[in-house]
Amino acid sequence: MVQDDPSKQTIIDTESPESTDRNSDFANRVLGELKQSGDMYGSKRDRLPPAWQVIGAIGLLIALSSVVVALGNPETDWHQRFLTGFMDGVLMFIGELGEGLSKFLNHSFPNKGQHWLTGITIGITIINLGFLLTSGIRHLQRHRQRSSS
Amino acid sequence: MNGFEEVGLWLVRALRFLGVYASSLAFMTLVSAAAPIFLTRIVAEARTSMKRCFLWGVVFVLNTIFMAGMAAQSGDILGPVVSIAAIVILLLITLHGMAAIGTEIGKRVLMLHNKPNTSTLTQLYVGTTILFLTALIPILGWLILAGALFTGIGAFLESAVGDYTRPR
Repeated sequence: MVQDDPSKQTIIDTESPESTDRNSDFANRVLGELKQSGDMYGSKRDRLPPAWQVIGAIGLLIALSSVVVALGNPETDWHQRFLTGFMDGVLMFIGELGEGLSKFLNHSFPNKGQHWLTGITIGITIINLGFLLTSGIRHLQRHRQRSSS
Repeated sequence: MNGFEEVGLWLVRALRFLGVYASSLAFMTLVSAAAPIFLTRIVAEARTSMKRCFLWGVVFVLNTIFMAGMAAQSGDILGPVVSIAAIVILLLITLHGMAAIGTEIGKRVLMLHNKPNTSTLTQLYVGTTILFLTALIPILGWLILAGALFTGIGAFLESAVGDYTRPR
């Protein structure tokens, strides 16, 4: 019944008695506990939080950060530290990359670099949403096949 | 620059590399302990549709970089903050994906060593160490690490979509 879902099949493989005998690692112990509790696959501890919580957390992060950045004096050390944090390398890399892309596009298409940057971003976003959509369709098909069999 | 300064510079670089390695490993250990089955699902997605995961990972990273780059250039306060949020999300997803791919690589490497029954933690440490050491090879190393990261990111996204489309 579940062989059409590779992810579930993998979990069932690791759950088999032979496998449990061989592997006594933490993951398999957790799997055993879940099996005993009867909530094998739908455990909340191993699923992402609901979408509204994830989106809400991102929104809260942006809102709180905006308030802190808006209220703080840009000259102070803590404000600089807040903006760069301990990810200064990553942020500088991204910032330089964004600036480099903008310069490159401005050089290639004089006075139209920003438009090209926006266009490319929109194009990539559409492709990304396409992946999201097809992935959702694939997962829904798996669920339907599983529930119909 | 004299010899002492050069040695000092190399030491700083090495320490920075070790810092990134240790902090990434610490986060991935937390992820492995908090959600072992979720990691198992990410590995399963990476195994079954590796090419698709890799492609989606590339597209997602490019999308995040372009969006963060655009947001960072805006003059108001919200731009840099949105940029930071985008990078934080990308880092979170990357480390989740890397934990899964690292565990899988570690598992396969330890099988070569005739030790298929090792713990998930050992597999994670071995796989991550191999990935970071591979990254030290000029050009090729970074390509291999980037390939693993992209695949991990795509597999994470596939698993996440699976979570949200599953009937509750």
